[in-house]
Amino acid sequence: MIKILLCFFLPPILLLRYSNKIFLSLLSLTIWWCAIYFFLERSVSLGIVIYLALVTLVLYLTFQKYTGDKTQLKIKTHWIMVLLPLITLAFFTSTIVKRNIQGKTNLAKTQYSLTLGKQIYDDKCSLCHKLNDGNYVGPSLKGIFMRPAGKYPNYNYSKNLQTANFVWDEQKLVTFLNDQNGLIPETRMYISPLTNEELITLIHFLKNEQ
Amino acid sequence: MPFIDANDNLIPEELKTDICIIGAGAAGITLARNLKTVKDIILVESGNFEMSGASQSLYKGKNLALKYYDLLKCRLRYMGGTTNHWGGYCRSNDPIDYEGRAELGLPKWPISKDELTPYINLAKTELDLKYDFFENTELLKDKKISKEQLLENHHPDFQTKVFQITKKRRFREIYKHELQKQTNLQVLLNLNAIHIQLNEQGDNVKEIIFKTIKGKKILIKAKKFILSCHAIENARLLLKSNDVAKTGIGNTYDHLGRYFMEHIYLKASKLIPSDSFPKLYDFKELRDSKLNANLSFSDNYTRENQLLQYYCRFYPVYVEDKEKDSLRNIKRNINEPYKYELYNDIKNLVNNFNDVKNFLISQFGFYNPAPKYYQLDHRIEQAPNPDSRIILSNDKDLFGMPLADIQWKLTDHDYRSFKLGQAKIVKELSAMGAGRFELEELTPDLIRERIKGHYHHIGTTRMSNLEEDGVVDKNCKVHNVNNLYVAGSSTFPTAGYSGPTMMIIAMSIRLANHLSNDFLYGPKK
Repeated sequence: MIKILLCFFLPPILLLRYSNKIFLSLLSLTIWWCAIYFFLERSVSLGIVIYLALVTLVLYLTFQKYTGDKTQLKIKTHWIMVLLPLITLAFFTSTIVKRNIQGKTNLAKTQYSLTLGKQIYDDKCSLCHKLNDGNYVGPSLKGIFMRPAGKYPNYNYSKNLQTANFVWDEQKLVTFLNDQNGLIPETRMYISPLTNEELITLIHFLKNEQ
Repeated sequence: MPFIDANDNLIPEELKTDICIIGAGAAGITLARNLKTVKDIILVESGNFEMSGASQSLYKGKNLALKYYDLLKCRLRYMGGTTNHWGGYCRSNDPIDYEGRAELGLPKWPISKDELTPYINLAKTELDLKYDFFENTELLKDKKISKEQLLENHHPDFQTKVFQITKKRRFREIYKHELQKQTNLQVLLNLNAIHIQLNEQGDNVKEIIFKTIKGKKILIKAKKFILSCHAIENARLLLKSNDVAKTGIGNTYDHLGRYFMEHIYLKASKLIPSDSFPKLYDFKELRDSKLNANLSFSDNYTRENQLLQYYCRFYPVYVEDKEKDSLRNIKRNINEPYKYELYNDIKNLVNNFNDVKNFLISQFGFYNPAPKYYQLDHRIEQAPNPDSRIILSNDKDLFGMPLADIQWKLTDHDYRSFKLGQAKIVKELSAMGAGRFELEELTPDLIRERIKGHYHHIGTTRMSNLEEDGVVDKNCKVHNVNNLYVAGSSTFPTAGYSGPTMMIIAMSIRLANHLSNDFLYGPKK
């Protein structure tokens, strides 16, 4: 029983050395692959959830093994044993290859000061826009990136923004903050001009706050 | 009458009325509502019913001295004016505010406390405030706070000053229907005052020239004009209209645009509390009980020590900003692929586990544990300073009007009040055993670097009995101009302790009352 429990919490390579049951090792490997894949490539929280879900599943199977019908269990475990390691291994290797191709561009990202971004936000935006839910003088900035323009609920947008047909992204925001009327004539907003550097710092801050 | 866009063809290019009010903010709307006996009123608003970028852009202006807020941001130019982002903090001026203390450069108010009290009570009723401003017993009882906790019970130099918070904040929405139903009133939107035309003698306003952004020009001739366009704009318009009065209207003695004041604050010094710290003054506790109480000094102590109005807040700090950042980063990064920062953030939180735990407990409202320390927040009224002023810029707005720049400056009285205020708090709280202070010396440099304001713009057309001392008289009429009045916080001779909006409303009711009587019975001799 201890070995079975250990297999979920120790790296499979360790378990391979101590366990003579290939079934447990492979299952443990699957869990590790899945968790690592999601942890590194998708989302930390999802990785943890999947890990816990798989641990629960295996605990359940193990419990079945000691109490339930052994023949049925054999079929189920064989099926899982073959399929899961294959799927996760495929995912894992494909994303590693993908990451190697894209990796270098991500590293080149410039670091902008979040403190400076907050200062600019406080100075130029905060009195009309909130970063959390709800409108103030202007609509909330929560989820601004990838939000359809003029569509935040319960805000009375100018006519041109109500009928605007685009989605806010970095580029649109830069254009709008540089010249409000240029992008949306007769809009309600007007701010003091920002330098290019200030604009990028502000956008970086806003992205960080989402 | 419904609100009308001034660009509408129905509006002729010349209008005549009894009273023309310029600016529909707290003052303008209050005036219009209270001038019921006047037959014909026009209320002019530069903006529309909703905010518009084009109108807001007319508020451009630079900071020429101390760093102040972006002038485009700290006031709003549409129906309801700056009440559209008003926090709703209300309190009457203290008796000491009216006195005038020459040693601090504080002029005496031409209106006494007793004279103004009935109007303050009317404003209080209008804003649905039910408690007395100076006697806190009933309010504290309702909040289930024992009066015994107040520090004035332990030391007579202290006084706890409480703000009441009104829910009637957005005048645009609250009074929309009432204004529309008012038969003696016409509200013109999208119309900007660009010039006040005096007669040749310079003692009467002949007409005011208005323009819409679309280019329509309208002249309004009225028996009386009231400027209620906000402290900076009032001064800008009077300074700009300099064709007859060469230095600007009401500026014979060079007071116009000067004495720009704020309620200034800065954060400095820490208090590591002991069990004896009076928890009542913990700002989070106060906020949880929806109360805004501040530790201030009695009028006697303030007077004897020649201090400006001072008060202090104690903000509990559970974790440093770095830990807060870590928490925020974890919250964000937990749904992203793993990054090394995540490890650092988690490590940072684990290293400060106790602080983070207390912070989370306080945030989720279980109870308020003892904070790591209190951040002291010092607040004072600013002393009037002729060099703290509005200056017309060489840059022009789209009507060709010079923009208003702001030169915000402090005096030695301000620096001294911050310093002595902190020293007194430290002395008395230390004597009570309330905790250990980690002090920062409030030097002028530190103060200049850290100060902020409240978007309270006060002064610029100060009220005085004599023309030599100010811009408007005790009835808010511009000295030596018979039919031009100014309303709003620009007329306040001193900033006082309290936020200006409720006092603006009280003073506007008083002005409306005065003008109504004028129209009914003729001007008082």
